[in-house]
Amino acid sequence: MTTVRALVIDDSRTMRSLLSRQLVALGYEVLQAGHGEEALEVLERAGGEVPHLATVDWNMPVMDGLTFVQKVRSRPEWRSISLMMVTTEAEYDQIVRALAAGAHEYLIKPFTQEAFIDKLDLLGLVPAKALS
Amino acid sequence: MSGVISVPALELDDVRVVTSDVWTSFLASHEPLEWSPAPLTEPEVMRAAVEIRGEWHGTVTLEMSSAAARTAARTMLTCDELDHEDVLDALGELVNMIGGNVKSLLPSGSTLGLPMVSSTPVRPSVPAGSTEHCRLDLSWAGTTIVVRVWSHATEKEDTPR
Repeated sequence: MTTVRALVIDDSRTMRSLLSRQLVALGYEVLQAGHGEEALEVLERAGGEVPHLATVDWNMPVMDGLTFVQKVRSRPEWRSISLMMVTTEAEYDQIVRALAAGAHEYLIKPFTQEAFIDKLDLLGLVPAKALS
Repeated sequence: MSGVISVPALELDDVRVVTSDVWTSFLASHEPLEWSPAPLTEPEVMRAAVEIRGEWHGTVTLEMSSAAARTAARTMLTCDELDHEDVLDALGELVNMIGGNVKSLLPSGSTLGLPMVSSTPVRPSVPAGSTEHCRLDLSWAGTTIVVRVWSHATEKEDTPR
């Protein structure tokens, strides 16, 4: 696989740092955004090099994660991005809402590093060199 | 008249399990959380709060010494060079995760606010008339941390008789 890119979207710099660290260790190039609107701007600037993965917090100021997912799914040129919700929203109804809006995977905080990698594996987004 | 809506089906042990899960996931390099018989007496205390709105309306607060908050932030960020904002953010994320998982134990349809963090030695930032539903005193990193769930007072109209 060529270089894999991820966009980590969370209003907590702690959580952005934590997820980014794990992704970089797997060989990802990582961009970050503090809310959905900023993340959309990152995608607009990415041109043809959109990330393979976006991890998306739900509760954020300015634009929440669910709205971000809906907006990404409305843009054909961004259909290749795998969207993983990473959120404290743990109720079944919320999970269903996010998946119906177009999220591919759902990870509830708190999570272990192993659980995060398992979700990446389900998306086929664990780089081969990380598995060797 | 005003009244306080009780927290349905939320037990102290639920809050303990939720808090332990957060600590195990992100702060496992330190000793595990344990019940603490000692009160939080440090002069510099940081306090984080997150509000839950819905059928039940309340706040989850997390309090710990500034030193413990720095230890938590250093562990989560795996970084020794921290500024004050890093510590505030880490504490906010901890209460966010505790609050979010407490919310999942409540009737569906509730919403979680954004976390607020302060470092002033004052009472938790909960509205007047709130009542403490439950309180966990836990020992970690050589100090006490306190998790509390507060029920907010809710204005209700008198029912005509």
